[in-house]
Amino acid sequence: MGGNFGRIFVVTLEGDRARVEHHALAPAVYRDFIGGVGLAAYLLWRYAPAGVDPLAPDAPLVFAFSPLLGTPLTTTAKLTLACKSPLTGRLNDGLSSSRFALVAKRLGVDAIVIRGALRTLSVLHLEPAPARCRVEARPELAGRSPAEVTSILVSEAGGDARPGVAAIGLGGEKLVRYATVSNDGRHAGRGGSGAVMGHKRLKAITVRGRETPGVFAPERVHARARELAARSLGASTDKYRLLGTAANLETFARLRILPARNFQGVTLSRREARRLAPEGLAAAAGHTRASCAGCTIGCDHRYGGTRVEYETQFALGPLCGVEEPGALLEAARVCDELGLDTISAGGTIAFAMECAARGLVDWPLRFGDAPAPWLRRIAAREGAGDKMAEGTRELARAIGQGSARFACHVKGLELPGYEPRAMQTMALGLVVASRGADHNRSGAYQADLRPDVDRYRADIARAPGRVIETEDHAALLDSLILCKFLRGAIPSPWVEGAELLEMVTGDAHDEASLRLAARRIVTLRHLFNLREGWRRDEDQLPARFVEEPLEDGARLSRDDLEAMRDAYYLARGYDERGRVPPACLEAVGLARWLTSP
Amino acid sequence: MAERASTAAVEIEFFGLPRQRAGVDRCAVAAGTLGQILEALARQLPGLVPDILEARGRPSRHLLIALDGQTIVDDLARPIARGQTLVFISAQAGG
Repeated sequence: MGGNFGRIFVVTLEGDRARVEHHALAPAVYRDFIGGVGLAAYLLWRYAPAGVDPLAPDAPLVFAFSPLLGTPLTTTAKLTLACKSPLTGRLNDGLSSSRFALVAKRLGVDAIVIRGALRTLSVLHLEPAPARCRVEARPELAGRSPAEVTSILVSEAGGDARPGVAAIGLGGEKLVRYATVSNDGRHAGRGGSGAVMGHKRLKAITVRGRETPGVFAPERVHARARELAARSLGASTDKYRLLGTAANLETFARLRILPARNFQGVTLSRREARRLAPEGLAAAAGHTRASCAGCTIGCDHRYGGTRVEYETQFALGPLCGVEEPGALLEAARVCDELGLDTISAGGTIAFAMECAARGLVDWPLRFGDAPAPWLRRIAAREGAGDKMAEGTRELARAIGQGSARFACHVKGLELPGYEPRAMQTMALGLVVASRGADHNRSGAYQADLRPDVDRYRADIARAPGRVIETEDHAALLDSLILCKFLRGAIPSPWVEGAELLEMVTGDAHDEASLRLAARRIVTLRHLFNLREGWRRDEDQLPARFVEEPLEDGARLSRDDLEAMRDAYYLARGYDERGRVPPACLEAVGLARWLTSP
Repeated sequence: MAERASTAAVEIEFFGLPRQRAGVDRCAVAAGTLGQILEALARQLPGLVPDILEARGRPSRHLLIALDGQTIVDDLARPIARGQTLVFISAQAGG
């Protein structure tokens, strides 16, 4: 079998030691779940005890690779990092591009499952031979940024074989529920995987290896890699290469879908939007561009040395009422340093700002204040920062006084930068996503920007199908794993996905089998949540979105949103309460996996 | 040359990749059908061809057009009235 090794590492941490074992995976696991988020969902289902506390030793942290990782195919140097989220209590996964992913697969495994916890803050060193893996107590690394830790560990390793390093910042050490895991400056960002790693007292993981699974048809893979690289350089990716996702801010402001001031409105003046757009950031701090490992697109735009994506720009900018490029860039840099998810950090601060404005708390913060000092308090859990480290949902519970009405999250995950009252297919995508308010495993915003869609209207008949299509598409790309920024260069993803898998693994796939696999993966993610206590009323937006119109009068009806949600369940094959009946399990081929590994 | 904005014209606003290719933030063209407007733009702002507009003024798959910043339109026979605005954005909206 090309592309995969057929085995994983299972690491058990205890005291000051790690026990590392190989566990075999059946070929059917790869056929049914592909890799990436699909494989991660399977491994979470198998290795996470039902009902486990996300911050308990038994809670697993899963690094899942993909069959395309390590091939010359562009944008495939990615991994999935999955856990039960300490922020949401539901399934969580993040994708991250890095050299760490490439080197980790050379351990000769398709995934790493880490269980248990250590006594002292440590570094886990992984090599292909389990007997050579070891834990090194490194309490002096406490408080160091992921970049500093990486630099130290690479320097110490010396020699030719530079290790890959994944590390957490202070936020992860202090169990901030939206802490990230960083690798090569990229972050598996959402849902608090950094807190899970911090609870295990793992400051960093190093990987070194030289194993390769080979591919089934090397000449075809190399030819396709050259052709795909050429496609990746065209106009379909120029937006990302030339401008970056930061260009969205000005566009979204113009379309009146850019949330501002804790989702109180969508008004940002043209002048303000321009100051925070790529041109404004470049004028304020200078501009450079970089690429992820093994990527020909090169979407990594940095201003004053700080990487800024749209979601960071939205959450630490307009959402907090911040209009100064310098304050925005400093906040983004501090999040990188402390290992904090920028969306959840910005969302939580914006919520606290509104609570302060309403006199519900006496904390000295106002819309427009620089977020950076508050980010430091959050990561250190100092004063009010300790409450804010729990995320918006828990902060609203602590503050009370009706603040839950404008605590902007779904399932505990703070909303990304798309105003659901002005994008009502996206509203459905946000509420039903297994991870919580999610723009990565569902791209329903794309459906709202189609010629045949009235984005201000809840289309109960057609929105569920549109959301399902984007969820399944994301499940495919995130399992292969191919960067979504490549999607404009892949006009037939189901067909090309099958071709890529066949030439890499030798397994025969076609459009139908991949569509079924995507449905299976999405359903398994939902099943995981059901097992962990999911209820239908979690699939809802906070009251603000269904009670307050936008400045331009745009409204989202609670009844319509719930009708779309219930229609979505039925279209997925669930029952009207969102439960998965046996017929659905059989239809998507999941029944066998729920009873045996 | 593109006309200056006036009440007798349709205003075009460019964002993202369309702005990068157009080389301007905005311009104005005479009212007409969407197809006529795109044909005029292809002549007046040749940088839009071929990535944003095809040579004969048909929209490429990399372009979305939002009428008055709200409704995405693609029917080339659709009349666009004086005083209306067409907002050109990149088709790849996510981030």
